[in-house]
Amino acid sequence: MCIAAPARILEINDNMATVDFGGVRQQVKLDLVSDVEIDKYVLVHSGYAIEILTAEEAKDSLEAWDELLKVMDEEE
Amino acid sequence: MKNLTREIVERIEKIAQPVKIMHVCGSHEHTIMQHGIRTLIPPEVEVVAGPGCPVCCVPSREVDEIMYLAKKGVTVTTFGDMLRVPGTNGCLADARAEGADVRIVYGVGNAVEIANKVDNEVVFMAAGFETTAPTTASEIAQGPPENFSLLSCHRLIPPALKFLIESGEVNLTALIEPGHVSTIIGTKPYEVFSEKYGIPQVVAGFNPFDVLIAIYLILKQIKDENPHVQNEYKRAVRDDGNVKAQELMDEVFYIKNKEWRGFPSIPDSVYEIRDMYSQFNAREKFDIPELESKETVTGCICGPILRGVARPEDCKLFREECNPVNPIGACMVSKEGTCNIAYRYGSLNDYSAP
Repeated sequence: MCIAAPARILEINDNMATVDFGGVRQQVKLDLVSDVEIDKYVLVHSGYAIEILTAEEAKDSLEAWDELLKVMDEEE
Repeated sequence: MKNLTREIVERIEKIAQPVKIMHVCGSHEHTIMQHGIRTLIPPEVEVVAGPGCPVCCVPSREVDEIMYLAKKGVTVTTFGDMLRVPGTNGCLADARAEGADVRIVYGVGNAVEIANKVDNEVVFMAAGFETTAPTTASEIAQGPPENFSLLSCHRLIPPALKFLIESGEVNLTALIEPGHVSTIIGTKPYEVFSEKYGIPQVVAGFNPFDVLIAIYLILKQIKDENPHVQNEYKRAVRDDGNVKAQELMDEVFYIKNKEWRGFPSIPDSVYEIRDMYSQFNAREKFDIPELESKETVTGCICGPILRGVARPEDCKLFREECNPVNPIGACMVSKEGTCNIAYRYGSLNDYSAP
């Protein structure tokens, strides 16, 4: 139920945005976030943006975990 | 390319010791089962599912309330998973089969759109944890149409964690905190559990690497004797959470004691609509009476499963009478329910292994 997915903002009209989930477009509400801009990424839950992400944060990339492992190793 | 899974698992194996780690999120259970994570880690590192499915946690009483409204002729809107969650006498799907107007929506926004289009009274049955509660708070604060109201079934995660820790029934050592609940509430509400009870905690995302790293970080906290709240899911969780969402919830809701499915009344664990917005509170608008409700069907062990003290395989109905096509208990109804997930991915996860 608490599923949320990152999407890129394509267009903003008042409190609504058209976002792109890697090909699928959807309308989402922006009432729960501030300072949204076109091309920024948002985390979307049940039709509402609930957080703003940077492009890097939105990627879920292997490099990100690799980086995290390196940080963990340094802490050891 | 390096094998990241192996690298993390090797780190886990190096410092593994007997622990019971609870998570409270259906999406975490999904990740864990889909990727066979319990089979990757040493057997003494136990990962148990708690009350992580907000639809499953809605007790019979609240299903009975919405059934009462459906039978009165209001248009009921809710998430699809909610339709077959059992009340004392049947579920919303039964009411729909008997002619009630029950509609599935993707979010509260769609329910408000329906209210804008029809003359009938429209009630949104709002299940969901702190991730979802701000979306309904936002619609109420903006002033929805007069024929719209809300049956709040929103529940809070930290009070349930406190209950589980203090009851001692499940005897948990550590917690994996739910990523998207934490996007809203931040990491601070969990701190008391480390400070007061010495429980290591990691807020985690939903990729299998997130979960494996969370398990490793928990073991490392235990080894270092340094229980605290660590945020593994920094890409979506700020320490303070989403303050705008928190303010909206504060404006629209107050917090009260209430029972959950499988739990007695948990102190300060549900959101109810404040008096200033009572015209949008379906309980007040339709004067829903105190209903005589009974918890689930004989033989179903949803309750112990939600409290993390039983697995679906312990239930004699599991895979037999109770399956995703004919679910008997709430944990089999929802795709986020522990039994539904175990039914779909159980073959990848052999618990009988020594």
